[in-house]
Amino acid sequence: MFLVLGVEMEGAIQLLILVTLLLTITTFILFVITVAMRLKQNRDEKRITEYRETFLPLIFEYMEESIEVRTFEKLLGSSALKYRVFEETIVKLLKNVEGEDAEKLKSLLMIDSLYRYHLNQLKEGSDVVKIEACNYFRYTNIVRGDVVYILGKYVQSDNTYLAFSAASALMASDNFNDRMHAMDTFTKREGISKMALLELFYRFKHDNKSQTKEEAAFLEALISEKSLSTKKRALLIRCVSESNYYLMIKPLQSWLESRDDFWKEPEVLSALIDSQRIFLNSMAIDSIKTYQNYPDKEVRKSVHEAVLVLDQETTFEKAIA
Amino acid sequence: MSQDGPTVLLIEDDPVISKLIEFKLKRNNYKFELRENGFSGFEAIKELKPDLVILDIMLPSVNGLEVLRKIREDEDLDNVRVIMLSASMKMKDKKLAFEQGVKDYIVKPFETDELIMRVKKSLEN
Repeated sequence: MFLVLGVEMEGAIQLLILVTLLLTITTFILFVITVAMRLKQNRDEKRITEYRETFLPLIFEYMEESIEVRTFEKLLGSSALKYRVFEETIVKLLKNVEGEDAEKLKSLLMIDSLYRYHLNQLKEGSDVVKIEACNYFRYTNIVRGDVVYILGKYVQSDNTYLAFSAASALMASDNFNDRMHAMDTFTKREGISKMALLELFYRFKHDNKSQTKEEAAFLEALISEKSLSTKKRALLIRCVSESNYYLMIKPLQSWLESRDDFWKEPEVLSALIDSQRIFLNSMAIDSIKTYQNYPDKEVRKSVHEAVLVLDQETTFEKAIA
Repeated sequence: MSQDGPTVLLIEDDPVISKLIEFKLKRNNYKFELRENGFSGFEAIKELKPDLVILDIMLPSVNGLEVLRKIREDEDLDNVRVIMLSASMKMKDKKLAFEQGVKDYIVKPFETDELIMRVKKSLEN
């Protein structure tokens, strides 16, 4: 019996030794990996600081027009880390300067090798990498023929953030059809935030300031499209007014005055009344007042706020009436 | 490049923007000093007596408006010229700064040439 017990114990001890050995080896491997990762991280941080310190004085010299773009082309070579540090440094500076300084900095983001690097990122890689590339085009506002097709495809991506970044980048295209495609495709998605839509509306404007009749006509068709949900229609109306599409004042007023039930959904109606207040369109005051006793609380609130603002307004049209 | 002009002390915690201002000031012949927080900034004002202080509002430990208040409370520092530099466009901050006698208030983002012009103007007055 003792012999049997002895054999069994010997087996158990062997197993214990084996397990201990395995755990020791695993711990050692994990330790080596951790140390290696830490060393790599330290090395990268050191390189990032080194690159930033190299780039900064040169960027300042460039801003003073003492050196030319080719200095950076040589310096950047084809290192992804250098590109990243260079871009981050410029973006950081761009948050603090404006005017001519900002223009010069933006021109550095358009360095050919940097453009090609992001073009490759856009073509291949994970969604995160593609988003990074889209943001480069969105930030620099360079959208050439070679990226339009790719961006157009990504606007339809299942990944909402990739679709948004691509749509926003496409807004820099000179071709109205590209901008229209991005706007039309993206706005019809579900679950998009007002903040994202507002950015698109601002960027959709011709040269980001003025607006054209064709843009207004497109937006008019987009908002009055029958397939849109009430929530989405109201959201689009709010975006149009908050991004100051003054060419939309007339269609917005005519929707408010329309007898079609289509425009009488409380959410839509409230957005339409708010739009008249935002545009200070006192010509709509009588139409707005007809909703003073409307059953929906939000509509009545919009009426109250609009009357407070618009009853004070004297427009040119009112003055000559 | 030798800098023998007036001494400008910058109190700013952002290293990138500090380097840019340093570059511009040195290029325009100003002597440059940097402190990265309100506490060491105030100590440097007392020690160096700079001709001009460019003071950021958002600073670690003691904020810029607090440093400004301490400068104004100290009789020895009564003549120190200060330009506030801030990302804040709040009228409340501007009012507080001008009430405490700042020479100028520069809002980020700014143009570097304009900054230099304002520095020059503040030192002339």
